[in-house]
Amino acid sequence: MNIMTFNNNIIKTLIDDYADSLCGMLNRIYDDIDDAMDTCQDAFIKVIDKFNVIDKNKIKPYLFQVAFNLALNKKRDKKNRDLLIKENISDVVYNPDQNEINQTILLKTELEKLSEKQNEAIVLKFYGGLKAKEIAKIMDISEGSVKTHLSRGLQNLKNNILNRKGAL
Amino acid sequence: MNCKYVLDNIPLYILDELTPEEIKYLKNHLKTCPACQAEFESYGDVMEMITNDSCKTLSEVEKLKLENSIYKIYLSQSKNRTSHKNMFGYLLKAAAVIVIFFIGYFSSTITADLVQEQSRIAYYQNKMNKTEIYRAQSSMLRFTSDGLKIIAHGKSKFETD
Repeated sequence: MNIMTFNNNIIKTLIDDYADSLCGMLNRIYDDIDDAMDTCQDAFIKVIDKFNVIDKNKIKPYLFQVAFNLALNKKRDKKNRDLLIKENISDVVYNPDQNEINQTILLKTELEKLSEKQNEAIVLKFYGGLKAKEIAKIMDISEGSVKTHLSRGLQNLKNNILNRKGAL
Repeated sequence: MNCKYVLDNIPLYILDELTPEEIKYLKNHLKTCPACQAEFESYGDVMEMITNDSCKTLSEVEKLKLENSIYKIYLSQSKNRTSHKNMFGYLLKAAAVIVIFFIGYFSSTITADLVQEQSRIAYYQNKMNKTEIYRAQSSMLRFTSDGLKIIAHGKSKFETD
């Protein structure tokens, strides 16, 4: 097996195993599938570059860590650039007639209303499917803090969504 | 049974972040406490929304596109790395040439010093030889003058001196 076939197999395996959840997480961070795919691609390339030196059991957390950091940096840059056309999330209107689209919009707006840490922890947990220990490593905080952010974040998210739905 | 503890831990129970003992405790409590059970059920909507949103998958075309673009970038990066390696090779060769040049330069300087030293030694040796020859010649002269004395004053005269 030559080196190219070997690398092509790695790429295919990584994409089959992680592309869905990774793109899902990045899409939730950016709310833009193109940006999500770009960052997904960059993260995969970084992981493939270091494939031989990474512990094979830690590929998933490493991949999500790389993607998460890339996404946050890119989002920060984008936020600075687009500061003048910043979307006002309170203007998003929930319309019960367009159920599926509005569920996504409602979820997105309510996720953005959470504190930064709670939002990050929830996104990594649900969209990345990572354990609290892995999230702690990615966010560079303790496992206990991650659990607190997850717990309070989910409580707040639930309360806010129920309030929005109840108000309509 | 502590309702506050259970209410605080319901999100972690939903997120599967509790220990087996905690899960057992929570399940038992939920069976017996309608208020906590209602709170647990109130997460149903939000969990359904998140699950629907997070379970979206990429199509096969999107995956293939992603795979191709990653492969292309990886290949171009590999070529860059190879060209970097070549550059390193060139740099190494250049460094080797410089090192060889300096070795040659210093060794020639050392050789030149040695030659100079040797020639100086040869010069002094030559000079010393000349002195010895001169001394020998002088003694010869003396001998010659003695010979002349013998000739001039006769053997007896020379012997008395």
